[in-house]
Amino acid sequence: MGISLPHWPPRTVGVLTTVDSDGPHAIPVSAPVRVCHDTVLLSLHQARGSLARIRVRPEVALLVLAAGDVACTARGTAQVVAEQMPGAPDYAAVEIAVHAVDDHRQAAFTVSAGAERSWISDYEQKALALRVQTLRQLAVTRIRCRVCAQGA
Amino acid sequence: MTPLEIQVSALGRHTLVTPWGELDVTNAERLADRLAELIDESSDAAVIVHLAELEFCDTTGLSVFINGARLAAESETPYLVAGAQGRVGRLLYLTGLERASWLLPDLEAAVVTLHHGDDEAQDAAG
Repeated sequence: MGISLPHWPPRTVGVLTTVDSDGPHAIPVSAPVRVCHDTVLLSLHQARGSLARIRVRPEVALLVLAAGDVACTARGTAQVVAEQMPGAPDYAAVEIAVHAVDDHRQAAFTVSAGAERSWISDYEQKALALRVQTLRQLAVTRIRCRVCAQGA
Repeated sequence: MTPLEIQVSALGRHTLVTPWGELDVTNAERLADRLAELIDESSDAAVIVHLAELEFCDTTGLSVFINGARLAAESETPYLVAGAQGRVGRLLYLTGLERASWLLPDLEAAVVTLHHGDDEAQDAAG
């Protein structure tokens, strides 16, 4: 199968890097959803420059450092799969088709945790949970489409 | 407490059962009965229980999945449980249940197992 994204905990914060003529731009992204071995879904606010850059240059890298010794960069091509997410019209759903996974794990240590944060806004926390739920449903739809395409 | 909802849908020719919310002693029987029905109705198609939306599960809930595996084995129905996250995933790990052959990390691995066998499923799981 070649490409093999690891599993990461549900509340993981990743770092998404996009590029434009000014060079690379890296931003934190909340709770990227692993769809399968080579696909990731995440939500981006409509005002994010990263979303605008993806539309022009879809090459991206997603760094994930998380509990369970998860340390990798997924490099691939991003596309907007939903301009407005159900219940979150200010957010777009973005799918990354992963072409390569750089494994950063080392024998000298294990990664025991990623970025931790404490929520101040209940509202924003619940809104993120809803967006992640939508992404997970989209992930199931993606798998369902693949199964149907295989005629199974 | 988030009430338990049970969503049943098709995944190709297989049946996908997605419990939403919290599974415990107060509602485990409902899921157990539904699983028993679906396993009974299934022919050679599989019953896949997808746990990605399950927020909480106690040991009574775990027994539902174990009992489902027993019923499926008796009726020779392919049966897989996949996609446990967070607290539910940790419970499966702590109880050692994650080593069960019918338990897989995600839906993709479940599909691969049904169509290609265990070895490729391990590759898909990463």
